[in-house]
Amino acid sequence: MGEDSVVFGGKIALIGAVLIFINVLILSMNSAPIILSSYQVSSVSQLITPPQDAGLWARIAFGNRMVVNSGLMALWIIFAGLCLLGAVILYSKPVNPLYPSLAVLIFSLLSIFTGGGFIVGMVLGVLGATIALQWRKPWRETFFIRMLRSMRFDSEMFSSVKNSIEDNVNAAFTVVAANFLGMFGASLYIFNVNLILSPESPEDPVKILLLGETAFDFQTLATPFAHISIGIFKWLLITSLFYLFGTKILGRKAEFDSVARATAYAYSPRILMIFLPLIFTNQPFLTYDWPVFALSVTRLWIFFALIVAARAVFEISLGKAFGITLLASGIYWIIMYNIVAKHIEIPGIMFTIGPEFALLMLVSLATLLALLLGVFKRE
Amino acid sequence: MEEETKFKIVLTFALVALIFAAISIVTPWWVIGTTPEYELELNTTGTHASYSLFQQVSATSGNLSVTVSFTNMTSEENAKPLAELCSLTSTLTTIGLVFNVLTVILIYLMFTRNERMLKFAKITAVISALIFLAATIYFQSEFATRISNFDSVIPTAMLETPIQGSKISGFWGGIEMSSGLFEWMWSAGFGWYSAFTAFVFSAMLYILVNSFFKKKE
Repeated sequence: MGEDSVVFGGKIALIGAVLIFINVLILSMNSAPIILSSYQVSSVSQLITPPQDAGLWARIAFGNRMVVNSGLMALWIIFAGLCLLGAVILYSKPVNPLYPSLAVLIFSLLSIFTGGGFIVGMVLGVLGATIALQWRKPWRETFFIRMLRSMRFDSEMFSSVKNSIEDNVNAAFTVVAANFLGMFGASLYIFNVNLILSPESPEDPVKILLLGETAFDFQTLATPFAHISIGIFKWLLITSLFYLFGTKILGRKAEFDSVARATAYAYSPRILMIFLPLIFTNQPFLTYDWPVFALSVTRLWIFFALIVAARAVFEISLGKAFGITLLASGIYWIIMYNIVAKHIEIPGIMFTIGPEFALLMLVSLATLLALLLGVFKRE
Repeated sequence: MEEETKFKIVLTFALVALIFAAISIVTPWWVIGTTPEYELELNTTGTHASYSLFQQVSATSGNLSVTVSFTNMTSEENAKPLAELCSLTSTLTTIGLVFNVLTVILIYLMFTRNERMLKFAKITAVISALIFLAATIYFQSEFATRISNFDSVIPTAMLETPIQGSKISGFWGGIEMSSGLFEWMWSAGFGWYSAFTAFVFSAMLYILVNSFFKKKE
């Protein structure tokens, strides 16, 4: 079983490492970052000055200009080579996969400065390395694969974490990773949009939109860091509500930590927001609406994952799981955004439903629906 | 992992090193050109020139494209130091390429005839890696000094105001505009990077042979 994880991780890491190497070679051939845009523009004013005559424009960039145009590029070729070497060694089933896995993990993460193997390479490298790092587990039960399975609403995965006591750390780490990485993506995107719309120097929009740079400030790390504690609080809150409705109202048997593990994995879709700063578009998307839209999509995704989690943990019908999730989410919303958020200033993006009367109406509707679905009928 | 798969991996690495070694001989080792921001500002396609080991400079500007030898850009005396650098680097890369070919042959023989040629394959891989490393470091460290005598680093037919060789401060660099963005930028060409990649792959090949076939020795 252990060997399977190493070989499977090695295969994925190998594909990732090859992509990383190809990306680095293309950068060295171009002596410039790879910038793909929907159509060519000669100035930023064509994109952001209203009225907007141009159609939808989007660009994706791979590689940092300062890295590409310097002697550092040789260093990145060595890094890409070491990543490839680590992946090949992993694929060959070494006795101790720790060091090659760590090498692939570190060099895959570092490849972000050279385009991350068109991003796909970096993702595969990290995924493969982390699978191989947990070589004692079957690959389907490794950390990131579980996150992927939860995104696919795999009820079997939620059932398995319910009984896996040793997974408390992984569950907490899922919440931390999803909140930190997701909010980091949103913060970085907003920071760059601010620079485009209110530039500190006239070159800022040119650098970001046309030359493919992504501006970074250490402030963009502060917001996601703050969201670690907020994420843990939200996780404990939603777990408490699920536990309350599932065990005390519905009468199902489940331990608090079992519910906590399942709800933690339901947070996985939030991690996808890390990819927000990858693509920049012109108006109307060059606003804060875009990260809020992404947040809404991941919220909805989390909501559906929670339904599957509730169904697996309490072993109830889909209707009842939907009812519990609806009711718990409604009360969670009132506590989080109408009580907590009024006392603690939550940094970054969030959306609220207003006026409060409308929110209460929605929660009442959710309660009635939950009642009809049999949430209050004790089994 | 099966022995056959290991051999295939090692052979692939040797072939990749060989391909990059061959590419390095025919592609440019140093490039200079206008930056994208400068081209955006002037709304032009810009001017670009690349230096090859064949002691030639290829330049493009809009629809215009020329290839000239070093002696067409400056006096024979001024061109000589750079010509010698290119000549020596070319010799080094050719020797490196020969060692790469030998490595591929040795690994292939080891694979097909089951001959114990590991030791020789390792030696040739290390020699070729060292040669490519030496070639790239030598070219990179000497280039700026040897081009400093050039009257213009871009063929004069392409530019009204020449960029003198003395302005090239290092192998990587650029000329800034008043806004802080760059007007001209120069860096290693794909040939240089290919030679460096050939070094990386040859070195990795040595490590892989060591790690895969320890017992055979």
